[in-house]
Amino acid sequence: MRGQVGQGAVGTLTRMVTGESQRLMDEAWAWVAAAEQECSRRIDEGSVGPALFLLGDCGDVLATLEEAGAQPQAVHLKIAADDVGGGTAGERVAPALCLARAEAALDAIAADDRSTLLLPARAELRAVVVRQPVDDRGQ
Amino acid sequence: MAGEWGVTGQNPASVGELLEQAQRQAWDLTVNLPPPGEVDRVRTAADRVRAHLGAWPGLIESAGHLLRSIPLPDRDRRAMAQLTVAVERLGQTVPPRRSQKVHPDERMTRIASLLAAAGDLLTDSVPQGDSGARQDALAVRDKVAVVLRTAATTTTAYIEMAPNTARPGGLWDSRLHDLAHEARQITASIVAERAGRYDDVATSAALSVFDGVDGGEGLDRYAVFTGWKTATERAVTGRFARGVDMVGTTSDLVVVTRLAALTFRAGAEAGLVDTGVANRADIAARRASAALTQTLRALRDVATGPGGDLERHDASRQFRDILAELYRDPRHPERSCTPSDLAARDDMPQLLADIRLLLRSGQDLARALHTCATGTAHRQEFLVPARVAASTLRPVPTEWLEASRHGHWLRAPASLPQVARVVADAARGNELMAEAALAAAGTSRAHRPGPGTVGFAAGVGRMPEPYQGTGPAPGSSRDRGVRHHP
Repeated sequence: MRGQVGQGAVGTLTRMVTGESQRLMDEAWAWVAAAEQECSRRIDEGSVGPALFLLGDCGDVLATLEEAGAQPQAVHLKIAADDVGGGTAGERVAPALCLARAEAALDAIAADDRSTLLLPARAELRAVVVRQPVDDRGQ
Repeated sequence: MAGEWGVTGQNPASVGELLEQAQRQAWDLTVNLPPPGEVDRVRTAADRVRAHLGAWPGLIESAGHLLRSIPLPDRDRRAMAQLTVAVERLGQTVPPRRSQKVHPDERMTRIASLLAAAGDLLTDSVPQGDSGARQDALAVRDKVAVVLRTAATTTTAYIEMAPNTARPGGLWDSRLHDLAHEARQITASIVAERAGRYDDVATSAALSVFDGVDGGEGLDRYAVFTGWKTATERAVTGRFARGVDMVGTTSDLVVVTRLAALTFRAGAEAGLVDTGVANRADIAARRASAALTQTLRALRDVATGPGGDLERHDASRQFRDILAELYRDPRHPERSCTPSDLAARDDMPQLLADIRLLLRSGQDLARALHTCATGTAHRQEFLVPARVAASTLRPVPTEWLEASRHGHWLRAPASLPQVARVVADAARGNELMAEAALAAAGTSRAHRPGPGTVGFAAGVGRMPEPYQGTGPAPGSSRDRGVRHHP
């Protein structure tokens, strides 16, 4: 939970988990944000396929991750195609692959460290992944 | 705001309701006139005039569209001619230069939207060649005349109060007077308030046109559309609107505008819309989509506290599911839908009508979003990471440096670039959304569906029985006496 904003000019956020688990949650957030970013680019280029509706779905997942304690922008994750595998540096990464990476990050969180709200976030992410047709790279 | 359209989940707007709303807006225009003798500040008077002048092009276009949409046999067109000509002559006159700093008057813009919506309903729901009773057509004309007369009179009053530098002068001024004169001639002859069968033309009539789709499914879709608009508007106009609702609303609007661009291109390909008109609408929709995508990116750089409106979230999910189903090609779900795919479908006219409705709704939501972003920024309810704020502002308060070291988040001042960008991008999205909605209104004019393809001539849907008597029109939304026009 992000917690309450404190008094005065400085706001504080209470972290539910620390260390490696927080880093993994933030990483999952960043991968979903990357998927959303890629959807935006495809829409700008004229796509009216799955990317158009995935845009909103990514937003929903990001919202539930934030509820679970992910901190947006806490991790500047440089998404490179070769990180995901199967592409060359400089290529854009398909949203489906970004979402798979986000799932992997969440699944890597130790079971004891998974906050209560992380479960709906994980379920939301899975539902979005399952709803997508086989991604056609470049479409 | 749902009441502004008269749209609810069960009772879609009718022409009569839309024109009634337009008349209410016109009434509010006059209420805001300063009492006689009150000295108006020069700058305020000038701004008022500029706001009115900025709104007239849209009003002219919408009024012309509605007047041309009123079904009337050619032999009876003379009854409509003088008012239509006066509107068109004003539209052909080079308008006064629009001020970039003053936004078009919101009430006038809303009147324009309402008239355009009424015109769309008549165009989409009444088959070409419908002869109609003359008095029913004149009933619609008279209501339009009342609205135009009020708007023209109010604008003229503001012009007279304004300094010379703000007055339009010349031919435009003269033709505005001509329009007011023609409208006055018509309204002077109204014996009593008219009601006619076209008052009851409503979207429900157009819902039954799908082959193989019964009226029940069509009504559900409109219930989803209106439910989405209502829930979203409530979420982003509330005092404590959350970032997730702003992001969700913006995402939905991106979907609508992008689908609109596709649909207009498909409409041209199917021969339902003139190519030039479709191109303009396509470009306007894509510009709005790009601006809203930019707003989405800007919103990702800030945050608000946790929480969001569950009803909005559910309505948005349902709305997107329906759109995805509408635009999906079941044979190739993984690839982009192309204009040719859509153009080949039997329900193209309905898709065009749907998307016009959604753009009009989207216009209201984009406006609400801009207001929400501005208010949230003003109240310093946007949060940013302290290190981001510390790197941007000079000098940096000590406590911010401390917060930055601990990875905390801050309430951001409205002047912070990340926050200012959200407000500016939301403003741009609002402006372009209005332009897209206006351009979309034009797509219903270029071609009316022929008999047998849509609406009543196909034997589907029900048209109110022609009104012949002197009592209240049966099923009419008005229950008052009407006398025939002599």
